[in-house]
Amino acid sequence: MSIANQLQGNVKARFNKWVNRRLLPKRKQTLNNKNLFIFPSKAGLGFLFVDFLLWLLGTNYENNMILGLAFFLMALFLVSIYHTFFNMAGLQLEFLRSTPCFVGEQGEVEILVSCQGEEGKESIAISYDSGSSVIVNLINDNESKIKLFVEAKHRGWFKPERIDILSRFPLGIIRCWSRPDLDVQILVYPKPVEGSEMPVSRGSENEGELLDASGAEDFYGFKPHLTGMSPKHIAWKQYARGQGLYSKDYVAYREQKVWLDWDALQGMAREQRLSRLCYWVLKISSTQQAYGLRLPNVEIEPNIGAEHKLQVLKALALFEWNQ
Amino acid sequence: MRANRYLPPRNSLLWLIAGLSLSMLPIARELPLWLTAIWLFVVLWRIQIFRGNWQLPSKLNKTVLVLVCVAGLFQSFGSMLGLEPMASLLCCALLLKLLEMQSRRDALLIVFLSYFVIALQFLFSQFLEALLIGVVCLWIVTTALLVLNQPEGHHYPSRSLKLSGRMLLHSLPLMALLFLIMPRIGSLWSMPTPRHSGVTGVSDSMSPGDFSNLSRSGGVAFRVSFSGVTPKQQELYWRGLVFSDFDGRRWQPSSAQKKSASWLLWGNHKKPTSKTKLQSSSESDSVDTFKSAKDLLARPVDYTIIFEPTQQLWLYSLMLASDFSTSSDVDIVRADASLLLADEPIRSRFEYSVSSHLQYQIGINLSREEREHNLQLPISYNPESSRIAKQWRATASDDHAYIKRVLDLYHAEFEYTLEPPVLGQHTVDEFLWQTKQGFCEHFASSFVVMMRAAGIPARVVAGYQGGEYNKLENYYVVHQYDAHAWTEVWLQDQGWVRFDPTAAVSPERIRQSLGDLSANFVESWFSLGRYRQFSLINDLRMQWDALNYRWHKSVMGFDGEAQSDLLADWLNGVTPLKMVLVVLGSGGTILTLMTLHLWWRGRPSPVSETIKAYMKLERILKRKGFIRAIGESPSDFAGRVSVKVPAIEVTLLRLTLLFEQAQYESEDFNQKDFTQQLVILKRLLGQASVSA
Repeated sequence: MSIANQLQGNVKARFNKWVNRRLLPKRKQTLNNKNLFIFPSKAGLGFLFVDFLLWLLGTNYENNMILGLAFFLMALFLVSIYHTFFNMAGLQLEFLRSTPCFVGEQGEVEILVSCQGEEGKESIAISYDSGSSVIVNLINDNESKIKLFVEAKHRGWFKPERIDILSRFPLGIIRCWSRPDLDVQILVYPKPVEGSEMPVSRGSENEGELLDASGAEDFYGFKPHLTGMSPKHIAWKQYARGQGLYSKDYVAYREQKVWLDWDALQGMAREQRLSRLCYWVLKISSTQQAYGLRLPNVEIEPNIGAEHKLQVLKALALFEWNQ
Repeated sequence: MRANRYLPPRNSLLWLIAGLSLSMLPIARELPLWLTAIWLFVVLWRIQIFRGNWQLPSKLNKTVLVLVCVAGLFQSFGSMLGLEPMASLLCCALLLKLLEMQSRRDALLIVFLSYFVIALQFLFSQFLEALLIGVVCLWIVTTALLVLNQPEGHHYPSRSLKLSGRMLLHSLPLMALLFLIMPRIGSLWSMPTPRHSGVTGVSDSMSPGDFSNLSRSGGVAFRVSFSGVTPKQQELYWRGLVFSDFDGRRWQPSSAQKKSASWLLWGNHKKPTSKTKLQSSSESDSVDTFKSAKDLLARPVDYTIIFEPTQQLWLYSLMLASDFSTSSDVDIVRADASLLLADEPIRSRFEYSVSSHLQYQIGINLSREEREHNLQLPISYNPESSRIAKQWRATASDDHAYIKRVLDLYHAEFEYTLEPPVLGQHTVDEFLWQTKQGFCEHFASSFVVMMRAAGIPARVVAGYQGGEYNKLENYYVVHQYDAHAWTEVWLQDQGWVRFDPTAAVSPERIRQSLGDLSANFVESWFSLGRYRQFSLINDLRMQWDALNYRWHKSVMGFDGEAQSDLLADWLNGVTPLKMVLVVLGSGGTILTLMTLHLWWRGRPSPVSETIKAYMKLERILKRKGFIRAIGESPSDFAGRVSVKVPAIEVTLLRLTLLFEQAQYESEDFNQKDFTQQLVILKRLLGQASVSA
């Protein structure tokens, strides 16, 4: 049993190696006789067995009609090879985009499946090895966008395995499949790990200072104008409407820009530090606080907003990352 | 129930049920009646499961059902040997599997078993009709297999049916090739043969009324094609059985004949070779007689008979069969009185060839034992006839004169009818002197009684007379209604001579078939033959029968010998190299044509003028760096470009509108306008001299 397994594993490994050499990565691919493999399925072997029994029956009874039926099923089997192949051939696969995710999560890969011609394609299962498959039918439409999910195994540009594309259509007795590499890559952020304290950088010169109240710029509200207040701040519009004399109130906050800093996480390994930073990025970005990121050789100015967050996360994902 | 239940594609259940029911239908006649109840029950249950009303059968349910089936099978058949019990068992298994179907594997098994059931029907019937039914079954079952692999097939049921039909059509030429070239290796081991409930054809005894019943049973007894000379219709007396024993009501073969038949049936004999066959026949009609007959005669008549199964041993031939052969497993032997017997009951269509000498002399030296046997009459039956026979014979000058007087009696006073009155104890007396209405068996029986009573050896011969000529394929069809009984009388120096008293009463019966004379009587309402007076229907009937005949001749009878003959004929001598070339050549051609067809169906659809024009627009914009994104609609694209290059906005929007109207609103594409606008766009773009 174990020998059989080993043998099977061996064969599989060799097959994969051969496939790797043969099917080169490409973003857009068309399935054809160069990259499709075809073989009877288990049901097909059963079918052949039944056909053999029918042949025996016909031979023993010397009954030409039963023999004819046996030959018919044999012919059907051969014809099925062609039908299965042509159902797959000409199918175009194009990797459209992937959605970034965190390590351990399911990354989403969007693929455009299309074909030309009026015949259409039917019952083609597309999947990643581990995930559940999507069944594609192109009968009335010529294209269809599908989403596949694949577990992100590491940080950085994660390249999932090859895509499994398989069809037993029409009779289920022939299995036609391919393992194209659509050059898919998914940006994978570090896995967020909750840390004890926010790894902010300690005061460097110009940060965290209190600003002069008079130099404050953020409009806060109105307050009754009292003598001695700066006449610059009088709300003339409101005064002109006869609402009384008010003074615009400006406040100055303490420096809110936070620098998430690599160096604040002393004594930790690289990935652990990145995970902590990632956690805090997510945490801070849910507030209205501007934040920046400091990594060795990387610095992102404090800012807020979704785009900034993605920029920061990408920096974390790709930090010291190489193939 | 399993937690993770397999859900077959929505339509597949219906297709599976349709497929298996249809394939069981043709053999339903051979199956016990209770299987219909099981079928109904299972289908109902399965549909209720599908609708979510009922549960899958529990283990207890299944056990009970299996027990019911087993009990039923034993009740109906007693043993599992034989074809019918096997077929019933297979159908039971198929139905129970349908009920408990829970996985894809189960569904596949149902399809495969259905293929088997289709094959079974060919064991029971090899008519052309069976082929047509079989093809329909094959189509439906294959569609069921297809639908199992079509998770969303229920959206397009006709597509599934068409696709499987196309696949079957694609398979057809390949199948024909395989049929032609696959070597036939012949029976590997013996198999149970179908045992129809009823035997058909002439039975092994004759009582009044038997033949008129048989004439109404319908169907074809056999088809004959003559090579060379075709005898006249009046000469076509197909002899099957000779009856010598009479018990007052029933005629039966002599005990010696029966013994030879039972020896054939049950004896553990070595199959006689063709030489011993002749010797075994020499018991009564001595070989010498036979040889002298052969010397005496001119050219024999050669003919081939395709015989429908009768479940009986006797075969039919014209007197006097001198040579016979068959390519089948069943052997033919010569029995008493120059009859032909098969060495096992004929259970499927059977083809044999015979040479007969129509002019013959046989049994000139009648042994004492035989003479006594053919004079035997039951005591105290038909006293009146015996008395008159003796009286007439005494007054007649010789046997011939006596025979003539009896035949004249028939001719003068008797009526030939398909519905003779019922007879009492003294059948011959009542018939001859009271009712005077009868069918062939009445005439034959009474004639032989009259002969024997007068001391002339005589016997009844049962078989068929005549046949319907089919000019399309040049053969005769002998129907069940052609069943006939006549007599043979032994005369000094002449041996056995045929006399047909029916011909004395109704000469047209011998010249024409009963089907032509009284079709309404012998043909059922559903038979085309009943309406043969309409020439169109009669033509149709002949066409169909000729087709059936051709089918049997060319396809069903295509055995190993025919195959090698055909190949040798085509290839001018078969060599392995030639065979390989033929297989590769024809197989390759078939597959190439199929590939071309499939490619042609899946070819990219031609790009319309509209799209070509729009692609031109896209190329122009692409030069400026504007590329339409995947999935971006033309209007979105136009909007995006216009924002960047406001100068071309109007023209671009106009072009886009022209395209969209033609493409999506089925308006005519104004190519001229489009081309003009395209020129303007180019100019404007040049002036703007921008890029994305």
